[in-house]
Amino acid sequence: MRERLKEVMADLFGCAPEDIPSDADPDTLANWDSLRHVELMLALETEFDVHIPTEAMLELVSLERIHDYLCEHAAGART
Amino acid sequence: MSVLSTFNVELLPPFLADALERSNQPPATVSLGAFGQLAQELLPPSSTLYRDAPEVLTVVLAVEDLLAPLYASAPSLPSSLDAAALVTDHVDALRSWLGVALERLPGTICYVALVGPLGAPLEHVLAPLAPERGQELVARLREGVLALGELGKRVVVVDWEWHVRALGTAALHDPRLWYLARMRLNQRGLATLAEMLARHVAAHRGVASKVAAVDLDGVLWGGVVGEAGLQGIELGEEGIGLAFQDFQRELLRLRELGVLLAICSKNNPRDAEDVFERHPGMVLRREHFAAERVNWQDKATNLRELATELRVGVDSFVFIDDSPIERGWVRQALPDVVVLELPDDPVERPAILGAAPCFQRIAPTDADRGRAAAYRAERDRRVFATTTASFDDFLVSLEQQVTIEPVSDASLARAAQLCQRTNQFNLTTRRYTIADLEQLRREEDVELHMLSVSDRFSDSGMTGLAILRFTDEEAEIDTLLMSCRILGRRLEDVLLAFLAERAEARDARWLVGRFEPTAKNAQAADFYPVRDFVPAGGGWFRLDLTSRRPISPPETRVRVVADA
Repeated sequence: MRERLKEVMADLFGCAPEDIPSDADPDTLANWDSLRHVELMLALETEFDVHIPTEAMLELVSLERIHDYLCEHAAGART
Repeated sequence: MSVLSTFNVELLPPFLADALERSNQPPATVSLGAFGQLAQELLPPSSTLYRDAPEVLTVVLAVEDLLAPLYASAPSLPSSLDAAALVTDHVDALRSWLGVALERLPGTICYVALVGPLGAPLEHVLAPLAPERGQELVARLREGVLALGELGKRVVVVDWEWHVRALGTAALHDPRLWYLARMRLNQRGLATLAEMLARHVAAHRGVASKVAAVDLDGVLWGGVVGEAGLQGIELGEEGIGLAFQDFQRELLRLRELGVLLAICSKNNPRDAEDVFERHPGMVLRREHFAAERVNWQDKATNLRELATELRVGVDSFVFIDDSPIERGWVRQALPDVVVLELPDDPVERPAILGAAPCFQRIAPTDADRGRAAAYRAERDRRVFATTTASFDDFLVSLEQQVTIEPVSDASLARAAQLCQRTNQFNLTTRRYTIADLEQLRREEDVELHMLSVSDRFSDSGMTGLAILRFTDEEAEIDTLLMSCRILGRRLEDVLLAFLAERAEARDARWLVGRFEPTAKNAQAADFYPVRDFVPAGGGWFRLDLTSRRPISPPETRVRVVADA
């Protein structure tokens, strides 16, 4: 799961998956601005087949939080 | 509640019952008028509507029905003047008809909804204000229908278009994106906007193709004429045959826009010729085609030859063929030719030509218009007296033209189809097959006559059939039927008067007929008695032609074609 997540983020932020630190957040990743964030949320919805409500979108501002959220909500996400 | 409509809404009542319940409204008994017969229901004081005197009258109109000549314009696009008159005619007529209904039904509330359209009359033209597109006329019709609300508090207009718009827009919008990032379109919305813009960019650069090269079997008609024969191919006014006919109409519309049509078919020239010359369902004529290749050569070679003959490059060609193999071959051999992906299901095809980027343009150029004008036969349409408050006036205004001719080889299949499918106005409901009818045609004392009708608004084609059998002094009406689309226009009297003429021509004194009741033909039960036929027991009725002769209604022009 974490690997898949890093791949999605790397794809979007234009870097390699191994360049994404496990504590990635908008402060550690220069590209992670508000526009990219919306894009990231939409990409996650597509990749993990999940609907993310607005409030969650506002809170999912670190790799860790996204990971936990997906583990809890994405269908068949535990890999 | 009574529901009148321009199209089939037979499946509406259960939905209506559910929806009324969900809105906490008392249940309603719904009665449906025959569709496409607004005038017949609203104008005669004796109609079912006024007998029922419902609490609620619902009138459901479809843009495509009211503006049918614009949506299926053949043989030529109506001039803008005619088209504008078409809209005002309809709006004025609706206004006056509804006025009549409100007056006769003082306690009734009337709901009016205008459904559709799926697209503009001519989707190939993208500019919203280009007259050829016809979008403005649709808007004007809609405004006219909305304005029916001015007739009084008892008329409530249901603005269908505005309400369904939300269904489409909802799919292109994501409220989260709006609140988080001020984005009014979601990704699908952005993709749609991009696609739309790209189309307009391409159309503006003028990439529209100049020639449509069409296959015959499986494209202009269903089936293979060389195998199925003239009567075996699918082409006509009903079902899938209508889809093929509509596809031909769409091709004709392309031609009106200045696109050259060409035939590219593997076929026997004589079989193809036969269909063009003798099949009554054909919309396209040989003269509509600028060039043709009907032979057994491979199609890429034929396309190259057509290009040389028409003096245009193959890159101006669009290839329209139902065979994936032919399409693949042309794609491979001539990569510059646009190969249209033709859906397998013929009913999906009429819409694709308007949506195909290769035929779209912002607005027709002067050159297009010039070419189109050269094609166009001048149409001499009288401007129509606007309101028609009486049913008689309405019939006169329809300018009906009837043709009656003996059933021929070419119309045999249609005759059998009418026998099989006609339920409501069918006096004897004898389900003759093609073979039965062929047998009847061979009999000396039997005559089979087909009625075709067209009017100001549309061409209904072959929609009535009569079979007469002669014995001594009697002419027996074996079969008398009419498609429900043309009922209520006194055409049954046109046909009856003709049968009386035939009877006299063959020295029969009596015109004799039977009414054989079925579950569906109750509306025809009175046909003979109200026309002074005398009951003779066993469902038989007789008319002494020396004492009374059925007369053809004067408002309809009748052309009788004698035996070939």
